Amino acid sequence: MHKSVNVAPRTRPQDKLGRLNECGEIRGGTALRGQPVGYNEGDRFDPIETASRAEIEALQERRLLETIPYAYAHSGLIRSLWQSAGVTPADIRSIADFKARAPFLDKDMQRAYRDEHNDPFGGLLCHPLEDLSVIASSGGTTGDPTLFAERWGRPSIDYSTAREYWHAGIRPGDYAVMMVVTMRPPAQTYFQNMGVIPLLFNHDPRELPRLVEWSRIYRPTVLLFISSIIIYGLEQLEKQGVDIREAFSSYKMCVYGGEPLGPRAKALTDKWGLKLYHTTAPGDIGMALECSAHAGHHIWEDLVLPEVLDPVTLQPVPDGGRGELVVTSLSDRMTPFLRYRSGDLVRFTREACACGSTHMRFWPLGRAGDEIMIQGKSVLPTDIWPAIESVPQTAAAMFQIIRPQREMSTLRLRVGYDGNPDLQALRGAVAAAVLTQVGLAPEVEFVPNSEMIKLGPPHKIPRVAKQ
Amino acid sequence: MSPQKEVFYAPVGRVSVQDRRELWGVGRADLPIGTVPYYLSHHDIQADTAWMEGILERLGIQPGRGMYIAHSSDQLGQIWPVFLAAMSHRIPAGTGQNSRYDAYRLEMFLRRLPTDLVFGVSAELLIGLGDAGHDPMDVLSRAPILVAYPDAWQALAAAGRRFWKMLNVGPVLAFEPPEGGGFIYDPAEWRVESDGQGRLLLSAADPARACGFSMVDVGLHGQVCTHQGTSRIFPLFKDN
Repeated sequence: MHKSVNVAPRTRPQDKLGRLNECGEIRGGTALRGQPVGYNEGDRFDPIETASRAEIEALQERRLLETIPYAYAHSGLIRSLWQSAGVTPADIRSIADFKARAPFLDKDMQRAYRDEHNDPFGGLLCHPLEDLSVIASSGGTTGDPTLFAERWGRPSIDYSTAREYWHAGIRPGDYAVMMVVTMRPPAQTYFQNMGVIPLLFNHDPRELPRLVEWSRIYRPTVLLFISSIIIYGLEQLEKQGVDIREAFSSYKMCVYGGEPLGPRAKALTDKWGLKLYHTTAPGDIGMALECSAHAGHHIWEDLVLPEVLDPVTLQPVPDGGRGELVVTSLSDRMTPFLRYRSGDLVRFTREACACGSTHMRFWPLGRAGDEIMIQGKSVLPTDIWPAIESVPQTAAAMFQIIRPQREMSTLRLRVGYDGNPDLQALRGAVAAAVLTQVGLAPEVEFVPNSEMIKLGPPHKIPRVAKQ
Repeated sequence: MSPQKEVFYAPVGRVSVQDRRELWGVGRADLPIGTVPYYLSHHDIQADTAWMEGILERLGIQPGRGMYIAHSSDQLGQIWPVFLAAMSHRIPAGTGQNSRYDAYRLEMFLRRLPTDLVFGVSAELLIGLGDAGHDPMDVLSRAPILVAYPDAWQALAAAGRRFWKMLNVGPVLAFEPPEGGGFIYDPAEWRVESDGQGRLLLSAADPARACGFSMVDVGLHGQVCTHQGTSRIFPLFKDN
């Protein structure tokens, strides 16, 4: 006889995720049209994905005007910032009002509030601690990680949505490889609520022989996710004679994330026939994935209100331009970020995508905090990447910029290598490649790749290190 | 004509579900023959959650207090019921990797949040805390209750720390209280027995269990005895 279980019932969807948001609305915008799309109907999970700009903005405005008073009433940090700016929720009657008057929020403000009030959530948590189910967190590469809270069945952020998977052709009954990092909110439920069965793996190159074996047996259609570390491991397997192209031929979608993909790694994944879909986190408040057109990351504007602003003037950047991504959550009732300055530099457009989506797309350019100034010259890790990849012994591009402070007189690099090379000769080769690429002669220290991959979380290594 | 029964890959045991859509997921079971699929139905997860609720009660963590679960995503077949049990007890659960690098996250949770229980203490976490410049036992002293994997037992015991032991019996989690008395497991779901050579063999006690394991060698030696009215595992390790 089985015991009764006191957990929230597993619901099958009114919407396809089977959840209502905190407003009592069906998640993902189906309430906009009132007609959830049934399984196997069309290539779109949710009609909001192709809604007109007017429809999207109407929904944004309604959700924004519900979010603001809620956040003001429940978030100590939001209330404090708005009071300091002399703004109240009653002053905001439109998106235009919001963009004109609402104060910004950034990670430093959150940390200052956290330290001043001994509040681990930095003043953003809108519920008592005992209401929380899972407490997840950010990578923490720039200090203590930022916390994300969830209530059972009601995640605070749309960590991922079924929309991209559905559009890529993932359907109930498919197998999905879950190879994720566990500091983030549990992600397998998104697949399970789609009727997709997770195959569980650790995000670790040591798992790759099993991944190859099970990929041949189960013929999964989606892999969440691979990273530069996993690509490095696959390359090692290929050297042992494994046919990666054959083993991975069933996948319709391989989500790539963690950090930028260098040109050499991209050439490898192309050679293996992997259908890569890049993902990134827009300002820690959700996930943005590429679509089948691979023309930028889609940010679902019914869930997030994005702005792209000049980081100095804080004025809007015109469509097609570059600026800092600023995001406001429209569905989060746990830790609602309002006008959060992400520190991510992006290019963006609101032109409709070739895939049919009408939502904003963006291309990440780098993190403002990763920039280093060498003799007045700006250098980002992505600037150096191709140079490191161009040297055979360091082609896996496991490297770090040593950055004790933002302004330095010399570019210092820690670079990983394979094999047993002549390090003196290798130093000359790497230095020459970097000099050609960025016009700066670096100081280089070497560490075996097997040690480099231990320096970070499973899916990436920190590209900037203080020492 | 009835639809053809789906054939599942199962190096050991017989998969009891008829259709893959009955599955919650496919985890891993580490056995002497290698890593094999560990099929889990939604029903299995509910049963494991119910048992884990009882374990959390025995651990003594109070509703509203926090716990931290260190794990990797390949362990979710075993660990997801821990999350669900915590939710049903209204225990917020922090989550992080059970790795050297992520030890700093554990330290942060213990420093910033009221965390009474660390579930999944491992040698990697202890080493990672040390690498980050912390005294691991000092950090862990902020949590009154620890549940530890075998590779951390020696260090914790040497430090005089009281802790629960956690053991993988194939795909099954078994726990021994700090006072000893053998490892408890869920006898409604599993049967553990020893053969004539002292090898521990695992079977699904519930015929509806998706994985359908039967007399599977889990790579441990020991005895199974009844102690205080419950069936308990007394494993023999090389050093005892």
